[in-house]
Amino acid sequence: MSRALLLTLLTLASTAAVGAEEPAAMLMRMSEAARDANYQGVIVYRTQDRLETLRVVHGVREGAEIERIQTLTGAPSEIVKLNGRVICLLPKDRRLTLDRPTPKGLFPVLSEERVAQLMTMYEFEAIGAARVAGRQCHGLAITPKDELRYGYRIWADAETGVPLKVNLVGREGRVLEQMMFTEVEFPEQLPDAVFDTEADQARVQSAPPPRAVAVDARALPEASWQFRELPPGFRVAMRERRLTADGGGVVDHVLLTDGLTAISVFSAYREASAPAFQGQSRMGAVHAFGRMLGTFHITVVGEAPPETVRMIGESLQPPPAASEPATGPGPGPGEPR
Amino acid sequence: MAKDSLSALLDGECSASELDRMLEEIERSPDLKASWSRLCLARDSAEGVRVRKDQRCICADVMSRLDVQPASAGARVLPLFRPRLQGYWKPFAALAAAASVAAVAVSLSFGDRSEGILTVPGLAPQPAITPVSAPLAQRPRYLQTVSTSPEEELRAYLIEHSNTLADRGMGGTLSYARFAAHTLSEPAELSAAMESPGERP
Amino acid sequence: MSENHIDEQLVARAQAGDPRAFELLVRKYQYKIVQLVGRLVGEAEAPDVAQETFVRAWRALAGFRGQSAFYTWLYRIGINTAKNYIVSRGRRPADQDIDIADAELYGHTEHLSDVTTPEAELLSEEIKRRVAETIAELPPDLRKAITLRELEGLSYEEIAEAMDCPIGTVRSRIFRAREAIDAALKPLLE
Repeated sequence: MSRALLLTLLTLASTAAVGAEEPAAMLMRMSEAARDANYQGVIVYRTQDRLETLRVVHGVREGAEIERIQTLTGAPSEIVKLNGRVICLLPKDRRLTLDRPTPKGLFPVLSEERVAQLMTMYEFEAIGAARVAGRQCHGLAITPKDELRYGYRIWADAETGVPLKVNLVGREGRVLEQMMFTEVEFPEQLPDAVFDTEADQARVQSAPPPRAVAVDARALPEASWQFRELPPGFRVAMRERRLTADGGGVVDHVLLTDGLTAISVFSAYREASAPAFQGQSRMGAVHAFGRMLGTFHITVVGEAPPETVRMIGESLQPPPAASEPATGPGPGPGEPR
Repeated sequence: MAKDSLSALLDGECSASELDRMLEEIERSPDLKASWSRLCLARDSAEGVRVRKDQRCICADVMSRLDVQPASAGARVLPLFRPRLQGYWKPFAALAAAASVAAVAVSLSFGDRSEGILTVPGLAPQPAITPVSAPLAQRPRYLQTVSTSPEEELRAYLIEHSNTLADRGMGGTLSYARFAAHTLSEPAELSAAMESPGERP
Repeated sequence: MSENHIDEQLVARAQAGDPRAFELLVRKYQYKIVQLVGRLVGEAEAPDVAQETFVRAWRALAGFRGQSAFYTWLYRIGINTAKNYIVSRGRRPADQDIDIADAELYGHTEHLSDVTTPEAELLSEEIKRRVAETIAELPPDLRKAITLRELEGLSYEEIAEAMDCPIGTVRSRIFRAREAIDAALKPLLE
């Protein structure tokens, strides 16, 4: 992010409510630092019923951003991301995956409007200093103003701005999920080997050639599911459509966000006899809601209260004149049978 | 001689027939069993495992608690503390009940007691696919989920959601840890608990 | 034989329903598991939680696909069993932050020493000493073979190549070295 924008934001922040001046700038600084800084260390990730320890290396060199994450609990496995592109390295006898980019620019740099918008839904408050992983940190609390979303408490390294401890906070201040560095360093430079993704890619089993898929894309409408209502502040940030593994259908993925909280909605054609997750569930801090909508299976997933996730799932509507999915035998929702 | 086979077994260099004979003999010989324990302990000690002088051997207690057969592959393995059906994704019970298309709004909440082996199966490898037309976004192929069980599908959606967020800066650090944690977790011990024959189409 | 596959034979037998094979695995890994879970639940409760770990492993054995080393799989069961135990005893309410001191108990700290038991009280220290003494007194061929196996982790085939002798000879030398070690430890561990 440019210095000019940062200064603009600081200026903006200074005209905002008393107490929010530094926090807004802190937020942006943290967001940048997580992307721009070189750091490496050990992270403990914890939810109510799960705990993982990960070793992380992150750095930027000549504009390329690289991240390596290794598990320290259980089987040694590693994820490598280069400029957001994930090369997932699993134990070598597991079939390997992905060389597809994650969508960039999904959460663009916080703009003036966005910060202002966030402040209508969340309270920002500096919560003092603390030590994390032996480093002096400044704390920021982001507290939702309604019951429809969760908040954060973040402690960022005073010197670099990198978040070293992030709590996802639910009702009554309960910590639902936590990520915390237990060791961290900020090297000036990382060794070259960290950036050598060719060696990693050589370890990837080569994927079989892509199957030609007999799906007439014109017959598939652009993902145009609609929401009858959304919780205040939420908007569609991304829509995408992808094919299913067998190439015989599509999954629509809509991402909703209020700028901080993000909720995904997946919809996929489902054979009537096929089992599908319905109802509510939770994994750690993430809630899920599933329902059938005609012949489509809807799954809502997000780190938000169950009521929010359910509200979104229940308010999903098919587009008014949905075409029949090219490979499904039944009519689409809303179509006459 | 059995002791020789024992030594080879310690190194994973025992032949199948040797192993058969050795297991026979070891059943009859407490001395052989003790020898095995001593050699394993010697190895552990060299590796830095700390063993106290008053530390008891738990082997007899473990063996007395085993059922006769381990659960065979394909059967559902329930965790020790019955009858509560524990699982990482709670709605497994709801799924069984909600086989019909009608939406069943079952609200389940995790208690503070979380027991049982994590029961989310691993992601099955999936073939690569190419989207037919731009603007179909390219997604990691391991996230293709429709032809898997509901539990796997739900978990895959979670991972896809977290991965999408993992690009974010600050809150994304949490999504990123979550993504890594769930993607990289070893599923090997979990499959047995969730597999039910005939679920895959 | 790589570390990943070293337990393959025993695991396969155990999966087929042979508890004798499983018993050998229990005997082999009990101290590691007791130590592992002890870091999370404390020394007093560690044997019970370790027991629970093995029982769960037996029950989940059908699901072990050999994609990782058996111990890696067992390790994960141990961690989860210990965590579940802690939570079920209400010792760590879910909304409590882990502070750094506690975080050290989790996961990546095998290198940390267990400070509650002084070295002098450790059986393992005495075992180490005796084993070292025994190995030092072995004839050179036996000493070399057992060292290459235990310290360098070489397979019999690799040792045969290193020592320029048949695999059968390697096996025999290692066995004889272990006989000596076993004899030295027997009075200590009876």
